[in-house]
Amino acid sequence: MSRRRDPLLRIGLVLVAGFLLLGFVGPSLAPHDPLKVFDKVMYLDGEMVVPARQPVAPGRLPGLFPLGTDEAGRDILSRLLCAIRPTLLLCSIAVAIRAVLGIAFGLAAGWLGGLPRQMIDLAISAALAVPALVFCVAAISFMGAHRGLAAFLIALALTGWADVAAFVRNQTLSTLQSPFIESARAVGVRPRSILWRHVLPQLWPALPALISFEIGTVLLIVSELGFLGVYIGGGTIYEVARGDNPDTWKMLTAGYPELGQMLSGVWAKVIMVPWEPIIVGIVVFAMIFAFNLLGEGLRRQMDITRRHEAR
Amino acid sequence: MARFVGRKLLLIAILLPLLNWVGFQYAVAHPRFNPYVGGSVLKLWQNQGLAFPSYADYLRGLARGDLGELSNAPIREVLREPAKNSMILVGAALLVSSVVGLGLGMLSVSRRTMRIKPWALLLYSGGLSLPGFLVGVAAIGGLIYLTLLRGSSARILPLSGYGIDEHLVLPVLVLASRPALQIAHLVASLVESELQQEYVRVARSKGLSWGRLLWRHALPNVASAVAIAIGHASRIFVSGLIIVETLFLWPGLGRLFMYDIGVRADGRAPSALYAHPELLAALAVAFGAVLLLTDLVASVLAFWLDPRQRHPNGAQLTIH
Repeated sequence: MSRRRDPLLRIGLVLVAGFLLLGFVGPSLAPHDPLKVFDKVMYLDGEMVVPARQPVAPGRLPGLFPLGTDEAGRDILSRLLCAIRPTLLLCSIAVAIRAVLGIAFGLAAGWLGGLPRQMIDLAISAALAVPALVFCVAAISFMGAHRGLAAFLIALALTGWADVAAFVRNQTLSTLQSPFIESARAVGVRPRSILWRHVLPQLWPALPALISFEIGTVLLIVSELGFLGVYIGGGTIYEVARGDNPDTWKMLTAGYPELGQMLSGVWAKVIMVPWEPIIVGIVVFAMIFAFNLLGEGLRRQMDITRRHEAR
Repeated sequence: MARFVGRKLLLIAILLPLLNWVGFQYAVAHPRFNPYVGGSVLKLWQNQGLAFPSYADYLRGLARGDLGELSNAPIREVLREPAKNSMILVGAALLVSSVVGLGLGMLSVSRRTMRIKPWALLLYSGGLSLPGFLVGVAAIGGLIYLTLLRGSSARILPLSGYGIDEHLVLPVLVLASRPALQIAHLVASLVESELQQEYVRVARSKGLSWGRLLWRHALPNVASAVAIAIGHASRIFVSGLIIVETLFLWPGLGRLFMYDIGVRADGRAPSALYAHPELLAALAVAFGAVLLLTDLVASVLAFWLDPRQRHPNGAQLTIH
């Protein structure tokens, strides 16, 4: 491989590494407890501010709340830093299950002939005929969002494996037609070792790009689910009062932060705390962008037509 | 060809009843329990003196052309308007995304290097990373703040609602942007790899013009795969319908679906639509039919565009 790296790959690598790092150390960098509601009086330019009553815009108290507070009066920066870890974990586990399922079914479909292949092909077509988002909403509604991670993992893993399986199936079929398989057969290599030693390794080069794209896809679905009000973790109830009105009323809001969930209830937020959806939206976009760039870079790196010109 | 179409039709004949059954059983088995509130839809139904119909009864009704009923209205009537509205939206988005996708894809291949232009790659990676609802929210928020800033009440574009006029602009923008970029990306990559072929070099050295090379040689060779990709875009349309119709209050099937099984986190009492077996069975079939029929049309188109079947694996081309 040439030493000159694709700029796309480099940017993608840096961004992904940054987000992974934030996922690891984010919660310990958070200046506040992500769940803490600031309901005490604070002084700002000589005027009193209670974040729980009136959300603080970013930049108004830069030392305390660099990115402002959300509608319940919690620090957005801390919530954001804590949100990256659960989201990344969710996406990577879901993608891992997707990849394993997809590779298993794809290999089986390519390797086995006859009825098993037709059955698996049917299963792949059936799975592709169900739109991912529709399936996830339905599955999570069925299992109950209060089940948390498990419901989301099942929903996200059961829907995307078909893409991977279709890719692996075609790859396997084309590998099986190549001359080295024929010669391996001719010298009497056992079918099982042909599968493990000759067919399967042909998949590895394409896998990193595939996984990277899959993470991007799952992140997108998670954020869309969040927008639709389907997110991990239950809600917490907080008391609100607006302006000088002494009455308070109870409202439901999200508990422990997760990126998809921070995008929920956008309508209320656009009016009350317009900066929160903007900030979270940028972070989510950057994350998906990072994984897509990495995938695209890796794909181009593996592209044989490109290799000789990079020298 | 006949065999191929026959297999696809067989698949549709298997999958649609399956979807119908799954949708029905799903709703019947649904816990009908809103974890955030504790209200049970089952109780709601019982209070109204309603019993869940059995699937056999439902099938008997189907044979008579009766799709069941919802709050004393036949489901056929309940679905008619939303189905029409969704079709309008999907049709417009399909048209826009195909045209824009093809055009953008062709434009983004550089004439000099025969590669995808760097800005285009960045546009595709960036655009495909942008969740559609963020575009929608940004557009709506931006329009609201713009109106506030201008201080006049003259609206620039309607923010939500139904209408076959400027009401279509924002929903179609959000619905079509992703598929358009995906199609453009695919067209660009396929044309790019096509341009690496030997015959292109020969044609270039003989002085064939760029436009002729692109439209007469490269495009026909990739057209079949592009048709497949446009078919696959219908998957995004159905997923996108839920988002777009929720976002812009478009009275279509996606919104009906969200009313039917959406998780109500806002703590409001579930409606009579919640987990309704007959409605859900009909919706599942409707969504599946849109997907499968688009796929069928795209596959036939791909076959027709490429009689030599240059891409034997074309039918399984995956797009990410």
